[in-house]
Amino acid sequence: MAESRYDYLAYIHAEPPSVWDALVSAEAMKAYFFGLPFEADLRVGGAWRRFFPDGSLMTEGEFLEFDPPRRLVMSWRNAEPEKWAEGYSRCVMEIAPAGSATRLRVTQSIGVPNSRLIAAVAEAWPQVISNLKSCLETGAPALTVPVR
Amino acid sequence: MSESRFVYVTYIRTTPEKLWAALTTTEFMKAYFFGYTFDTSWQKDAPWQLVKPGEGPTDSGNIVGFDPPSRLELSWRHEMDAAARAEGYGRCLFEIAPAGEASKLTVTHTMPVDNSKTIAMISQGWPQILSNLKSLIETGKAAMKPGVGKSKGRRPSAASHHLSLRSQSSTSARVGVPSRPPKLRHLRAAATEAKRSARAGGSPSTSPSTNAP
Repeated sequence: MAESRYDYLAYIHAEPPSVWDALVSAEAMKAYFFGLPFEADLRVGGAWRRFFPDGSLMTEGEFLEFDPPRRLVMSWRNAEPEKWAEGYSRCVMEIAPAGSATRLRVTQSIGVPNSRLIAAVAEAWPQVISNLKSCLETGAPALTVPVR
Repeated sequence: MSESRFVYVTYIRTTPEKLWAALTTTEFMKAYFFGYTFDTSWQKDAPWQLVKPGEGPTDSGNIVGFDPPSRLELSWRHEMDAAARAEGYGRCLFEIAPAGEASKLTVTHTMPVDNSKTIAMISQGWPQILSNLKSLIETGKAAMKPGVGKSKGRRPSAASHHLSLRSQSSTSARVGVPSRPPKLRHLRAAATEAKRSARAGGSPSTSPSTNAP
């Protein structure tokens, strides 16, 4: 089946529960996700939404698996019309101890070849996860505004 | 054309010049490269080899592009695993660009074969090494100590010596660290500064004082 996929792996000097908390916390996202407002009903079947600073919808979906501090699976759709038309992607976040660090793997996929949504997240995840890692390790992000 | 490719992007809170120095200073590299020695004269066309402590060269090639502080390109052949070695030479490109208050590092590793074993191997290695590099520059400490992943089985003390490159104030930290090239000074200063604002204390396992053989 035709599919688009993006995979990112990072090792973070923090405990798995700290990484998990940061991944589901709207408060933590202010620092590492460029201050974009995030609302979520933190349970399987719960909805989540991320907004632009002007309040318009950026992305939304539902939690498909919610297993702290190991595995978070979300459906994920982007509100931009061309990406919206691609339908829902699936984002899997896996957290595992790795020696003195924690391994975080983010895998996002969609059943669409050459997906625009996947191209966009391929730009975004390295920035967001770099920021997440910096925040957990130093208390401050690497980037305060997104870069192209 | 047959090709296998691995791309990794990370954003590091430092300048392109400091990031370049961290990528091209053999002694500093040991602290984030699990104690391996990247042996080269650091000039265009020079050969390089990556040497695993106590075992020998694991990878080798030539420096085919050397443009500080933005672009480093290596020809690259894995040496230890026979199947990976038989794939011959590929390329590993490091690109550094300013990105807001940080620097963007893009590592693109390609092999001229489909389903490359070399690429499968380095796909596990680069995220560990580059995560360590980012931590080391931003906090003064690598994220992981030896004993994880490919470096399994090594004694844990080697990198602890090198981790201590971050600090000039600790006397014990200097044990085992050869004289440092001048260009490390700003890396250490940046690390010290970052550490000052970071959370206090550190993992005992990465402290130089726990270097029991």
